[in-house]
Amino acid sequence: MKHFPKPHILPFVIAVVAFSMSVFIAKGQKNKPVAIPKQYAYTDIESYTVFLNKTVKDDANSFEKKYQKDYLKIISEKNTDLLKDLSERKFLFDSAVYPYLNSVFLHILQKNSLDAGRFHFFVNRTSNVNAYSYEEGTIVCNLGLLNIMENESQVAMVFCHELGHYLLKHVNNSIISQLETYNSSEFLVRVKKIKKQEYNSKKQLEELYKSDVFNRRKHNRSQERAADSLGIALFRNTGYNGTNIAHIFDLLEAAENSPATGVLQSFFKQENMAVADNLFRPSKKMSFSDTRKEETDSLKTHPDCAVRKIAMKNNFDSHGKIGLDYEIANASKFSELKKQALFEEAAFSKENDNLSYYFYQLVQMNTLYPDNYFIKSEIFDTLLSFCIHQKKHQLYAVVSNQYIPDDDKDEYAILLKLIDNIDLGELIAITNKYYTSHKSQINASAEAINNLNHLNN
Amino acid sequence: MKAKLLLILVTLFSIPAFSQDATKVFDEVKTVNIRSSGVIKKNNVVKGYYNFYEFDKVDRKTRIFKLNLLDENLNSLGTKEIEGPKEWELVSSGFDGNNFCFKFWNEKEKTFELKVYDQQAKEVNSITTKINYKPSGMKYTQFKQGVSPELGIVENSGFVNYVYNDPNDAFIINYAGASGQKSWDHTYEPEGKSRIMFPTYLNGNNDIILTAVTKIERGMYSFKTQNSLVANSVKDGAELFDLPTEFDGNYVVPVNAVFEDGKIIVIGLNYKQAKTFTTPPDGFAFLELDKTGKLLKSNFKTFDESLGKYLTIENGKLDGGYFLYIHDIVKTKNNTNIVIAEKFKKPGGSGALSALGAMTGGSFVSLQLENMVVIEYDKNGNVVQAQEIQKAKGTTNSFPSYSGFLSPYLLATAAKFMGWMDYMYTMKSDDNSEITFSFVDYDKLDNDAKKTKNFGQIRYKNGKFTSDKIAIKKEKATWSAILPAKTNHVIQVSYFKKDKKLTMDMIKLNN
Repeated sequence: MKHFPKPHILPFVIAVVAFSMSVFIAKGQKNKPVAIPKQYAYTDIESYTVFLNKTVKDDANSFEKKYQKDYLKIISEKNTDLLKDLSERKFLFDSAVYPYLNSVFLHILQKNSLDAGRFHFFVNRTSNVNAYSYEEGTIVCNLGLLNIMENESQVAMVFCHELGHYLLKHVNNSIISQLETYNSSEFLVRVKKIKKQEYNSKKQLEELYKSDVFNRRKHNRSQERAADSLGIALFRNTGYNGTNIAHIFDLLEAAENSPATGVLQSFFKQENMAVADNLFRPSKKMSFSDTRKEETDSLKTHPDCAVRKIAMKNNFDSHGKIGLDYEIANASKFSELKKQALFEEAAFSKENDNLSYYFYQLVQMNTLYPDNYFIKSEIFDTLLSFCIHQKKHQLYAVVSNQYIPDDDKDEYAILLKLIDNIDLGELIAITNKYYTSHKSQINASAEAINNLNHLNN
Repeated sequence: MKAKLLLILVTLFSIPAFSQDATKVFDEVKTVNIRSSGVIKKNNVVKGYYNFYEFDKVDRKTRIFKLNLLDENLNSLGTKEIEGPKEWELVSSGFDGNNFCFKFWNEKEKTFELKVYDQQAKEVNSITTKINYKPSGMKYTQFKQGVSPELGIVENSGFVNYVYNDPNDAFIINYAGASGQKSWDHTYEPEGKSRIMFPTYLNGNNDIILTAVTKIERGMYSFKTQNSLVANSVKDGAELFDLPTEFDGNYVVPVNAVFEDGKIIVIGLNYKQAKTFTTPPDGFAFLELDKTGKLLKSNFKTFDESLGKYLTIENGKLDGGYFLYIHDIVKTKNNTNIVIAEKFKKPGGSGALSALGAMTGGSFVSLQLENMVVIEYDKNGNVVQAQEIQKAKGTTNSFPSYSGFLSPYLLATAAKFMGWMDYMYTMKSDDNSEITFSFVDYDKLDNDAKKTKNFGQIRYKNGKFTSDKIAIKKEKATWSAILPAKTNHVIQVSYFKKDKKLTMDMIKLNN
């Protein structure tokens, strides 16, 4: 799957780096400079590369020699992936959202007397509701997170939490702790003993692995609580208002359990497009597990949101000090930046050929900004693209059905079902209808018109 | 099928180990041998897929297996760990709307085992049947060719399986019930003896299970058949009725049955003689029975009178000497019946030899296959519409020379048993509003294109037939194959040798 299709909630994630990710760039191969639009180009990539390489060596040298090789391998892979993402337009360096979020971040550093030279701050273009930190001081905020936040102080608290992870050296501690486990004589003897057994060896290895993962996740949950505590301490120095902070957890929960809004059906109704109701009906959900939820809960890296909310609320209530909701922007500017972020997230889906999710985002945006010509043009283009791909039997290239919704009312799942059910003829009819209704607002290329005519013939 | 596969073992294994040794060890846990994979269907509706693989050894005789289920969109539904004999093979599967059922074969014990799991992956029922025949025997081989290995699905109420019974050349019905229901087996013991019998599952509800039985009379060259409709109680397997389907010179082979307002509606092929294996059908039969098997109403329509308006047909033969081989009959949401048929003939008439056979001194017989034909009948047996769907002319594999004297229809029946005809399968939506028939075609997809092996689909929706085709092999792939999928889709599996890459694309058809 190229891109997670729905806001995926990993609140305040500690980036224990993606160890399993494939490394697509061969060792020693340099990232070739490609023409990247200015808003996605990181101009300091060379100095950042030098910084990463130096930091990983310095950090490795601070650990026991027996762990250095593994540590270098893990972090180098992470660095390669990070640099690859930077060179593949996955981060935003525009002149509005990025400077703003960076200013909030710098404000926190300044108020806490932290050396800004030790940190890097990036904005990831994905709509996943998330923020994360790396072991060398790079903090990343996803655009999806900005979009569910209500004000600047909430954004600041998330950044403080991530800084907490960095300052408490959570990433490196986790790596070293695991290397210690895997290199311990107790562990090695146990593995050797299991491997010698003729029977049940895989089963026991699986149990060993499970218990290791459970322990790590448990450890991670305690790290989350520690990052919350330090985050609150850092936040207190910023001058931001703490009264609304605990509400962040409600926002995260709401984003995860996206309510049924009926936006899709309303859209088609409003456009007078004849789409039968049964085309929206999702299949009856099936399951083949009862342990899944239990295991998922046990494997969560984060403590329960409700518990964290209470802890945070109690903390702010007991040390009541009213600050400001905005230090850098104001409510109106914040709202404008969120709008820009929304368009940017959608553009990212389109770039990743995730047209089903792009269409979902466009319809939501159309509800918020009904007079926007760009949205109208993009809706037309996307509908046309669905028709063209469907005609070539290649819809799978732009629509991923591998998505498990939380409930039957999940709007994105309903859209996927519609795309599944609708016939090519009906899809072309809808595209024609949309074009006719919004002809004056759609900036259609000659090629698009040509394609539409071709489909109609 | 045994394939080396690195499974994505849910979230549990998403974080690999750091240390090289640990990585290697845990990779071993993740590397498995797939014993079998397949489609999980609820009658003609694809509900998902399974992968069955051996995970670990418990002792010398016992293994831990894992059964991983995917939904219709290939999302993992969960994995169940099961202990079983090392000889276990998973033969087929089914979903009844609530529960899953898996049919296992134990080569050492010579047993079939049906295991039923609920959606929490808890085993709720099972039944084991030890076979009483030699799997290599001629009679079983014939039985196996004529009887579907797939499970019969009783809506929300369990699963049916047929096992050959050597002592009386008949069969045993296995029933594995849903949660809280009894499982049973029942030996079919009709009056009189036959050379061989073929049971076909027709339908079931929470009262009865309906089976169509074709008995071929004894005698070396006799292909006279007796057909009957057998009903068993879902509760305990007791035989409720065994109704011969010969009515005043109309010999009916039941193909499909539905339950309506406490009645049983049977749709079948109608013959004017008792040689339903060797002669073409003369038309269709529409029967209405009560729950005790009493015939309430019957309607027999010959092809000449019903189909003649749409296709030139005389004495069961179409223009150019073609016969129609009826593959399936499916009831639609609108209470009509759709028939899928394939045109075929024996070139040069009876006993003709293929040119290749004659030139090489050998003698082979093969059938010539032509277009697919779809026909819609109303509930009174009147043709609503009929249509020929173009496909390239082709031939079946060759029959041995001694088959030359056999009738074209018997050869077609044999070709069907051996999977040599171009028709592939029938699929439908849950509510029967969409029905699709799939076939293989060897034609040009475009005027400028070369001839390719294609997957063709005929779709019935909103009272209309439409068709679409795609090339089975993906461009640049070393090989590709097509798997059945959810309504109006197929899965194209392709292997790219150069890139050592296997892709699975869910392709939506355009008709």
